[in-house]
Amino acid sequence: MNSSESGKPHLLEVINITKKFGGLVAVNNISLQIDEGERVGLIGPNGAGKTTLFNIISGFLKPTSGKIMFKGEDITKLPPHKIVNKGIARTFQIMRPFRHLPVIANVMVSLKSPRGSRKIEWVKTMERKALDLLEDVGLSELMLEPAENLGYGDLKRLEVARALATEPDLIMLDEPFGGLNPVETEFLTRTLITMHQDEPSRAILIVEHKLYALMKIVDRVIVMHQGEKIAEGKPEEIVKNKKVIEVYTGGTL
Amino acid sequence: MTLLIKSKLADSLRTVKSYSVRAYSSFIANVFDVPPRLLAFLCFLTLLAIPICWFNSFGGTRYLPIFIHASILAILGASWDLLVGRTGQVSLGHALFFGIGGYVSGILYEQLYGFSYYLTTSVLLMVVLVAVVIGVILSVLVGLRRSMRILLMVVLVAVVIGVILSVLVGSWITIPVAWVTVPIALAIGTLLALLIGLPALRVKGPYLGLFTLCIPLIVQSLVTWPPLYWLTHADFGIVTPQIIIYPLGTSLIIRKSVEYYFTLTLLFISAVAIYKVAISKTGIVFVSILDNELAAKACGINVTKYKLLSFAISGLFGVLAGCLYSHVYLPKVYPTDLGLTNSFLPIIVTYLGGLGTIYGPIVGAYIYTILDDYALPNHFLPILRMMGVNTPYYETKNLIFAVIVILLVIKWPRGIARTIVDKLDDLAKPRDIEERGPRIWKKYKKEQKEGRLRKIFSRFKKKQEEKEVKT
Repeated sequence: MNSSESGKPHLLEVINITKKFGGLVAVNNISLQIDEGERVGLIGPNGAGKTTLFNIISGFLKPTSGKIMFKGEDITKLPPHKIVNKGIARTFQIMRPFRHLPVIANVMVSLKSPRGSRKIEWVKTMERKALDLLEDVGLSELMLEPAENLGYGDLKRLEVARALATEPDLIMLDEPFGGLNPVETEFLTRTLITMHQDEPSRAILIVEHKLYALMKIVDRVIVMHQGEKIAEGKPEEIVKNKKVIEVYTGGTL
Repeated sequence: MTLLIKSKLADSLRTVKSYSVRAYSSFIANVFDVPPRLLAFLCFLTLLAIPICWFNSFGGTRYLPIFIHASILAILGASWDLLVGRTGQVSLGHALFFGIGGYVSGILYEQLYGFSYYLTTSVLLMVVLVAVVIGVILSVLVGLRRSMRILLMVVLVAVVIGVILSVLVGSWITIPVAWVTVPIALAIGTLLALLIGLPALRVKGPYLGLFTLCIPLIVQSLVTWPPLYWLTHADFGIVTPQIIIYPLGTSLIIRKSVEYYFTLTLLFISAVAIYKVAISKTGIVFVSILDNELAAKACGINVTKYKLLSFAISGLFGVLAGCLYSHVYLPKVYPTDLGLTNSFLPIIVTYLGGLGTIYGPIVGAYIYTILDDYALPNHFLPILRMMGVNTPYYETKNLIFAVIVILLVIKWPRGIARTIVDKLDDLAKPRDIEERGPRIWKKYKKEQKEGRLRKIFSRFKKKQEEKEVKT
């Protein structure tokens, strides 16, 4: 929000997005802004419309009404792959590995995209860059293993590596800690923090239920309930917010 | 002076020697020590020796066409496998590519050249200009990189200048008509494949199969349509130009052997080309579309472009197979070439051998053709006749073949060749990745030894180990 005051446009601006599936309103008039280098968490109970919002931002669903601006450009009607090449990468809640391909080839698919292959040709080879990415997420020992042989936690990390390969300005993680054990969660948290230290201008948007892990990473939290935004603020404030507690516990305490 | 020449000669001899030693050792390491590859190599040697085996023994040249047909089917199967086994775009209409090449070539032969065997360069000029236009359209459609487009343009311009020069120099240089008509047929077939690929961007799965199934049938009915009789001669078919023109009086054995080696060479070339595409980075993207289209989109891949590319490459090799069939195997093309049989043959062949492999369609094609054209009619049916079962030839052959295919599919659902290769891999000692793995793996291992690993993973591991030591 500081940047808008200085006249610079927000990195991502979601303006009054509404999405209806028949009579069901999944996302109702949501607006949010993300600035460069900001780490934002998106939380809310099941069915709050977080994943739908994700799909709309990444172009897999088209909104009923509203607009999405990225770096001052309208990207509402662009197809998903063009949005990725503009600089928004995402991971999926249900992992979608390319299971016939070895792990390193999974990452190379991202590197074959226009945005992913921008710099590699004169800096390093594609294999080298894929290996570096795998090392960042700790999968380099498994690089020749077919993705179908990987465990749950490894697949989550593979998704992150694949998203990072396109060098996004905004990375959107859909429940990255879902189903991970504490060690894996700690490792992924550390990976994300290091990732942010390496590239401070990269913004992160995370949907997560594991609030303890989430709060370590993010600067700002947005709470959704039944398709609407009910609260926004710093993690410490959100934890104390009455409305949020009410929504999460299903009534007054 | 002589001394210098001698020393240079010795040097070159030494380099040749070292090259041959290196080639020999790499052959031992990459082919001889790897059982599946050794088997493939032996099979290839056997294929090379087939015409020699049949020279004096049973049947003479009678059985060579069977093997020619097998090679052609193998190319068709491999092209189908690239599209379906590796990109996941279901096509039940490869007969279109199989038939269209012969038709294009035959119509050009009859209408433009009036059945002349040879072509003068002045006609060639016109043809090359058409090819240039098609090439430019293709390069724009496929969306090549700028460097590739420039390269293509340079090559095309060079060809045009060469042709103009040769026309200026004189028109005594003559080439067989087929050498021009077949490349045109290949180009048109590739364009058609792109056109068919366009609806595939909207239609998916079984519906795409249904769509592609209908296309060759439409073309087939166009070909047999009475108002077009002057062009296509309906059921009588069109005579196609010969690719190889023999001197008068060449014996049948020589002719058939030359045809056999010609198709085998083209099978080898196209198999290597398709394999190279499949293991390239583009091939990786193809497999990613097969595995998960949504995720491929989320990786920033323009799925449309890669699907079209896959259609175009598959169509190109499909048309190549069709051209070989209608120029080398038969000198004619019939409407039945566009029929359902040729749509389903590549599927049967690929599933017999193994889907998603390069050796699958080839092995499948040879098994299918040998069973269907050689073993069943020559060995099984006589046995049945001897047992007193007097059966019609064609139906019984098909019945036995169908039963064999069903049994194979139940017993080895992954395909014959794939099952054998998997078993051989199990038999062999576990392959040492450190020695024969990809270059990047070796580099990684080396860095690991030297302790130069990049970032957090190693740090994190160390911390974990420290924790374990403490507890």
